Amino acid sequence: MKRYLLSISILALLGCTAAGQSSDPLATDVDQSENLALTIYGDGRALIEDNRRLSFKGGEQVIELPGVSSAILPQSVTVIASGMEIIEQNFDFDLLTPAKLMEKAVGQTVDIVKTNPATGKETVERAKVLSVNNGVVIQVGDRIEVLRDDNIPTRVVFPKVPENLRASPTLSLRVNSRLPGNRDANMTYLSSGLSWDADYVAVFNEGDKRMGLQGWATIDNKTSTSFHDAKLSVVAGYIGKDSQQYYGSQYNTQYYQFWNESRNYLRNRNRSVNKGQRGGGIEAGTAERIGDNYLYPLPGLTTLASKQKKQISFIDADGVKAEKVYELYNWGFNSQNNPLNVDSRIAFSNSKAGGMGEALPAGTVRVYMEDKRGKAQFIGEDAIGHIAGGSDISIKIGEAFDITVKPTLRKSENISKRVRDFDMTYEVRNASKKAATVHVFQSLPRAYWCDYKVLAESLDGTEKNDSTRTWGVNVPSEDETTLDFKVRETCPW
Amino acid sequence: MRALLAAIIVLFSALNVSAQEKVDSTKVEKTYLTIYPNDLAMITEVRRINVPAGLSTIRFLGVSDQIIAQTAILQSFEGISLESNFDGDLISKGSLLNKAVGETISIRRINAGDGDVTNVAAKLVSASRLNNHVQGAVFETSDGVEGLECSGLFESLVFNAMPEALNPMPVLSMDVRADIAGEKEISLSYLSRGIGWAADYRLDVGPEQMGEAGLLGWLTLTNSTSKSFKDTGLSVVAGELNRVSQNEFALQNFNVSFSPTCWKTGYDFSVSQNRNEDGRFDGFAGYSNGLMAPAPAMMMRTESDEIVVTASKRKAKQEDLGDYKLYRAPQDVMVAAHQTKQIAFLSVPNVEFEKVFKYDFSEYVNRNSTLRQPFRTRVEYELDNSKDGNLGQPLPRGIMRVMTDIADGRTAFLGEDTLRDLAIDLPVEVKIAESAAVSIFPRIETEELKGKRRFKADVYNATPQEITVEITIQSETIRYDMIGNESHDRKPGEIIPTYKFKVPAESKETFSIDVKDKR
Repeated sequence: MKRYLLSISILALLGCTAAGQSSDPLATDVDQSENLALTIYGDGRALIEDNRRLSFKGGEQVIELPGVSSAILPQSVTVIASGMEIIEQNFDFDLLTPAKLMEKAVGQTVDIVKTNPATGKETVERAKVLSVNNGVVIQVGDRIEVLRDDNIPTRVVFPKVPENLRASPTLSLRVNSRLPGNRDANMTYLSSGLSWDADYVAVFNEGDKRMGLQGWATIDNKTSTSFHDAKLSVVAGYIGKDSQQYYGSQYNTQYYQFWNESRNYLRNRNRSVNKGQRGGGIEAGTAERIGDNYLYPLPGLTTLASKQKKQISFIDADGVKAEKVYELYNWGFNSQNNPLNVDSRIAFSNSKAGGMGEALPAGTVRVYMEDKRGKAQFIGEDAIGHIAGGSDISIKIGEAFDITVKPTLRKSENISKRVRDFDMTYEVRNASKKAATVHVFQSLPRAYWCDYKVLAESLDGTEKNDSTRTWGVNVPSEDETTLDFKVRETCPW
Repeated sequence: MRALLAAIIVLFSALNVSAQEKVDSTKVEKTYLTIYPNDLAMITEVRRINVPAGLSTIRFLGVSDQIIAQTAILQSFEGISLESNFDGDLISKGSLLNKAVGETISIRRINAGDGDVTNVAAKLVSASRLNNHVQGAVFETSDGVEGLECSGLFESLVFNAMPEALNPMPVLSMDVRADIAGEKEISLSYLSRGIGWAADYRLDVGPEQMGEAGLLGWLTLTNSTSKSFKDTGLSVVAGELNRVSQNEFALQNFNVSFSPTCWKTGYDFSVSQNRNEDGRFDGFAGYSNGLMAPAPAMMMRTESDEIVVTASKRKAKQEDLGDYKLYRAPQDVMVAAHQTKQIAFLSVPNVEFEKVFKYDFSEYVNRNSTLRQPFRTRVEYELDNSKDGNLGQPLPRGIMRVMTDIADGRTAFLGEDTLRDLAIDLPVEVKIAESAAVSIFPRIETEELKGKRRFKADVYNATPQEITVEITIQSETIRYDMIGNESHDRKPGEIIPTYKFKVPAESKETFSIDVKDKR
């Protein structure tokens, strides 16, 4: 009994506060943003700097800031203005829907307008909303009814919109200002739902071994908020994020970078491996930097409408040295019933000597080449990570139709309990009209338990790291070259 | 200082706006379509546009509704392309309401009893949008505040004007800067999903086991977009292009739906929405959390799909495109919306073939070897696709159907197989069936010598013809080493031991080879 009483008294107190709040002189006369700046990170977050002119009344008041990003991270908000301190910050995103309107009307009086389906006659009654739990219970005079239990069309007219239901996401501040007057306030917050990545258009000229590369920043506003006349910057780099989705999904389980990353590669291939990059870069480039990352400010003011995708040009390089490379990678020693088409890749460098000298932010490179009639045709695409200037880059554009490799395990022999010999054959076929060099990669995963020793090989192989052996197999036009080798595997158990 | 800065910025943006002229491009002079396997096409549209000097915005109307917007590029344009925008929201009830918040609209009510029509001016207070759903609308009239479509009355909304940002179709726009004004021919290229192709082959064989067969090849194009391509220069590309999976655009991203999101009524006329406990709209089943509902329009269209076959002697011509094969249609074609179209690319009346009944010993070893049952053999048609043969052409991936003539000049279907991309000189093996008439009874016989065994297989030919049988032993997939004493000659040129021999009509032949257990 005691507890029951207590809860009633708390309710009453709460009711008082609510009433007190609503009688507050609400200052909603906020000018729209004076100065809006968005810094967009590639991982779906953005830092929004929003300068607004607020009118202070002096003393305690509630200031509402509508029109913030609908995907705001409320806990990241900082508002600074002179002569003002913040008592509390609230972010209301309890959207105004008819159902919410009814929930908030509990205990209040509404008008019930019924239309007689036969005569069309309207009757208006006052009703008090008693409860909104799986149906609306109302009290009309001394009758208690369930709203529209009779399925007769009934309008419910509410006297007004409750104060804390918003038509748009609204940040409200309870502040204490020492001085009245209009002053600038600087608000910063993080928002999700804003992302960018780079889209590159590469026009490859195989004969000249050159490539034109154009980069576009593709900015995607998935929020429900439109940002008008904003100063826009995008940041390229890996920003720490307190979540398991640190690197997003761009790092799938495909193999990359077996060339220079090996021992750790197998363990870390989903983490911290930079897609597309084949050699570390040591050129700083000209882009602005913040911390370890690159900042690309976009010129002028940009309007980023809700649900809009926008592309802005940011890199344009012509005559980049680029070369076609054929590669085939094989794990283990096994036979394939069907020949494998080799990867067709383009190798280039974003070094100054290679014709570029700029870092490349993460994104998608789409490659085009001219057909026999001089029309540009799409020939494939690949994803790259953020690549520092001066790096060697290799992107896969597809598989060569005419160039195939058929691996066959000729023989495997148990020499002793822990020693086994493998006889492998790779039949490399080239049905095209041009001679080709195919780089065959055989994984020899010495980073694990077993050791591998090449006992014999028909072509000379090289090892750029201790886990992969590579043979450059030259195949004349419309011909076949066979690579044979024998490997001895020694395992510790 | 800050005020001054703000003023300058405002001035600058105002200038920006006034300097930027909008040009609508509706007409496409010429279209080039390059179709890739796996539902991808590159569309190039040649358009004549009156480009003003300086900055302008060109709006490209009528692009494919499944455009991958970020791939749009301008070719042969003398100027600078600064920025491109892809405005999503399509005209729908949800988007109309969402854009009209704060404006005055009319609510038209029809009284079911007396038929009176009343128009009530209302201010739209809210039409809250979460992702692509507008969750109810609240309006205010002189009477007070009401929820839209919550009364059960006959109500409809009347808007004063169409909001500018809404389009019947997705619109691509580009900001460009040109030095000289004038009519220019520009090419807009972009990738689109919803258009794809695959090869279809028909092989006509006779009753003989070896000889010449007729081979027809068709490029089967499917267009599931709602865009029609008239007088289009058409190419298809064969080969495997690398693709990056990404959140590519699809039309349904731009459909904004509306649900009234009312309170529950005693009489609940069930609506197809999910509501969570407090009655709020909670997305469609299985598609909450911002995932999109599938576009129903795309699925229902199949019935009206049209299939067109361009039966003609003029075939698509093949050329090389980098490492791929490109087939060019001999003349401009029409590819209509939701159409499937076939164009011939291959017609060889005398492809050399051989019918072979195949069996691999590993099938026996890998299965339970205690099964005392015969196995069916694989029936394969091997086609000669060497460069000196009658075919000698690259074969893009697709389905090959094998047909034969039977009595009365009717045609029978023998079976089909899916081919991979096959370069010239690669073996073409079309597995059409498993034969019960040609069966094989394999077993392993143990001999006195320790560890030494004998693979033995009886081949039964229950057909009235002499047939060719091929047995392979992929010794590396099994536990045995072959030590010889083979009953038949080994097929030359094969790395994997292969034995090919004839079996006369209605007879039995025994194959054997000595093996020993692997160390």
